[in-house]
Amino acid sequence: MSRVWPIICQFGVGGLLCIVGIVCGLRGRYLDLSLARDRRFMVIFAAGFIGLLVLAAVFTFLAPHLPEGATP
Amino acid sequence: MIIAQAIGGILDYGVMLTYFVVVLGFGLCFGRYTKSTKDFFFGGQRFAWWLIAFSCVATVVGSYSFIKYSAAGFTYGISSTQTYFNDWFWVPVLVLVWIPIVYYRRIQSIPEYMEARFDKPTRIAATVIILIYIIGYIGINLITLGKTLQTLLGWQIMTGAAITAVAVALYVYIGGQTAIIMTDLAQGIILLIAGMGLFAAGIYHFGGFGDFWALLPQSHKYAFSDFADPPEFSFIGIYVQDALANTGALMLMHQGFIMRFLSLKSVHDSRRMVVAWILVLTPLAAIATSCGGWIAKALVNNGELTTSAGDSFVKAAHFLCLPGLFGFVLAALTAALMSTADSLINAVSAIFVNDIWKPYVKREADDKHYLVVARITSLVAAALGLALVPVFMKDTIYGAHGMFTAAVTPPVLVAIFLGITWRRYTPVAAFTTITGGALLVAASFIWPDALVGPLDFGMGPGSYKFMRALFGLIASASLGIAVSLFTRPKPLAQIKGLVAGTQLDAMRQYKGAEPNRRPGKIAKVVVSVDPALEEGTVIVSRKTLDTMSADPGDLLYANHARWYYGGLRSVHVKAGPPAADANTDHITMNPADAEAARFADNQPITLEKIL
Repeated sequence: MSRVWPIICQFGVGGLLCIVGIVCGLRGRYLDLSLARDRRFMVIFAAGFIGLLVLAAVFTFLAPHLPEGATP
Repeated sequence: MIIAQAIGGILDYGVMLTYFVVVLGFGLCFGRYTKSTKDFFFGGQRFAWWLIAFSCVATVVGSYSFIKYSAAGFTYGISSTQTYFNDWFWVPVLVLVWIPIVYYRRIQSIPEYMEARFDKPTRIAATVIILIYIIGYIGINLITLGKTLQTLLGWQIMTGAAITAVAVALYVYIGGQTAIIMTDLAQGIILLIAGMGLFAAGIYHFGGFGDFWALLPQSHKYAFSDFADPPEFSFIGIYVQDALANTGALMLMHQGFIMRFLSLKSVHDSRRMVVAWILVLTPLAAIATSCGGWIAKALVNNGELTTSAGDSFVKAAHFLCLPGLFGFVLAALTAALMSTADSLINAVSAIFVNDIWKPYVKREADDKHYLVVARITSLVAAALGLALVPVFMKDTIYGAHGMFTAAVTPPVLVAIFLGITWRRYTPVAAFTTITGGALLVAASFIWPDALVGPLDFGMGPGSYKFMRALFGLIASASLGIAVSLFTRPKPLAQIKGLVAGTQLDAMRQYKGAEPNRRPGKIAKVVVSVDPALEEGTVIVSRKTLDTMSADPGDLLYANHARWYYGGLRSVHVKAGPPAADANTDHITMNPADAEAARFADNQPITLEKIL
C-alpha cells in the first residue's frame, strides 16, 4: 500500500483542486460549456488528467515488475 | 580563478563560452524593443502562446534542476520526476480563475492584487514576503551554478556565482522582459535538446531501453517514492512541499510567472500555452533534468563509472558525450541558470517599482523615470541574490530549496488562493493569514517537535523541512477561515473582477464594453497607413469583421503574417466603424500603431478578434 497511497493522494487531492478550479470557472459562466472552445479545453484537461493517472499506474504496477530485458 | 580538476576539455569550454556569448548577444539585441516599463516588465503584452510556453519551461528548469533531480534520480530512481506530476492539477485554478483576473484587471504584481482585493496593510505584508521569496530563489540558483562550475573548473563557488550574476543582470538591465522571453526560447530548446540527447545517448550506450531498465535496481523503477519513507524523500514530504506549496507558489504567487502570463497576447492563448507547457514540455523537462542520475546509476551498476549522487549529471554527461558535445550539455546547465535567474531579477524589479517606488517614493514621475529605476533595481536584485550565496552554502541544495519554500510560501499562497476562490474571505483575515501564518511558520523553527511533529507521518525530524509546508498551509488556512467568519467581507461591488464568479466583470472592465465571445476566424489583411485616423483604432471592411465575428468597438490583435515572429511585430487595436468598401481586404491604421508593430504600408498581416 505504501506505493498505492501516493497515487490516491496525488490524484485525490489533485482532483479536489481541479474541482475547485472548474466550479470557480463555471460560476459566473466564465467557463461556458455551450462554447466549443471551452468544451475543447475541458476535454483536453480531462485527457491530461487520465493520461497522468495511466502513466502513474504503469510505473507503479507494471514497469517495476517487468522481467529483465523487457520494455515498459 | 585557478582552473583545477577540470572535467571537460578546451573544446568543451570553447563551446560553452561561445554559447554564453551568443545567448547574451541574442538577449541584448532585443533591448531595442524596450522603451517603456510595460515593455520592460511585460514585453508589450503581445507574445504568442508557444513563446511563453517555452519561456515558462525554461524558467521552471533552474540550474539547480539538473543537479538536484539527477542526484534524486541517482539515489531514488524515476520517482525523481514526481514533482513534475503536480502541475496539471493547478491548471483549472490557473486558467479559469487566476489568469483572467490578473490579465483583465491589469494587475501588475501580487501585492497590487492584495490591495485591490483586500487593503493596503495586506499589500505591504505580501510585498515583504514575496521579495524575500524571490531574492532567496535568485540566491539558490546562483549557488547551484557556482557549485557546478566548481566541479567543472575548480573555481570558488562565489566566483562562478558572481560571473553568472553579472552576465544575467546585464542582459535583463538592457533588454527587460522581451530579452528574457526571446533568450528563454533559445535556452528552453537547448536545455531540452541537451537533456533528451543525453538520455538517448545513454539508451544507445546500453543497447536499448530494456537493457538500461534492467540495470536499475527494482526500487528505482517506481513513479512515486514510498508514502512515508525515507524522511528526506518520502512521497508525502515531497508532495506537500512541492505539489501544494511550491507548485502553488509558482502558479499563483511567482511574480516572474505573472509577468509571463501578462506578456501573452490574449487570455485565450493562456490555455494553449498551459497545455503546451505542462502537458508537453514539462514531461520532457522532467526526463531531461533527471536522466543524468538514472544513467549514472545504470553505469555504476554496470561497473563503468564511479560517482556520487551530486556529481551524477556531470559525470554521466562527460562519460557519454564526445568532446564539444559535453560543452553543449554544460551550456544547457548555464542556460537553465540564466533562464530562471533572469525572470526572478526582472520580477524583483517589477515589485520594487510597482509596490515600493511608485506608491511611497515618487508617485507622479514619467515612465522614463520608472524605467531607469527598474533597470537599476535589476542590478541590485542580482547583487542581493549573490549576497545570499554564503547563507545557502550551509545546507544541501535540495534541503536549502525545500526549507526555504516550505518556510515562506504557504501564508501568501493561502491568502491568494482564498482571495480568488472565496468571496467571503475578508481583508482582516487576509492580513492575519499572511502575518500570522508567517509567524507560526517561524515558530515552527523554534518548536519543531511541537508544531511540525504531529504532521510528520511518523518520519521524525528528518522530514520537518518538507512537512513544515503542510503545517504552514494548515495553520495559514485555519487562521484565514476562522478570522473570516468573525469579520466583515468587502462588498461584492468592490471586488468585482477580483474573485471567482466575476471573471466576466473583469472582461467588461478590460474592454470597457460587453465582451464579444462569439467564435471567429483569423483574417488576412493588408496595411494602409492613414495619419488622419485616431491612434489605437483601425478600419476594416464588413467582410473582415464578419470573418472574425467582430463588431465595431471590439479589441483586435494585428500581427505580422509570419508566425515565427511570435508576436514580436504586433499591436492591439480597436475596431472602428466598417470601411465604406464592404469587401476591401485593407486595414487602415494610424502611423503610430503601424510603427509600434513595425508594419509597413501595403504589408500583409493577420488580424484576430481578442474580445
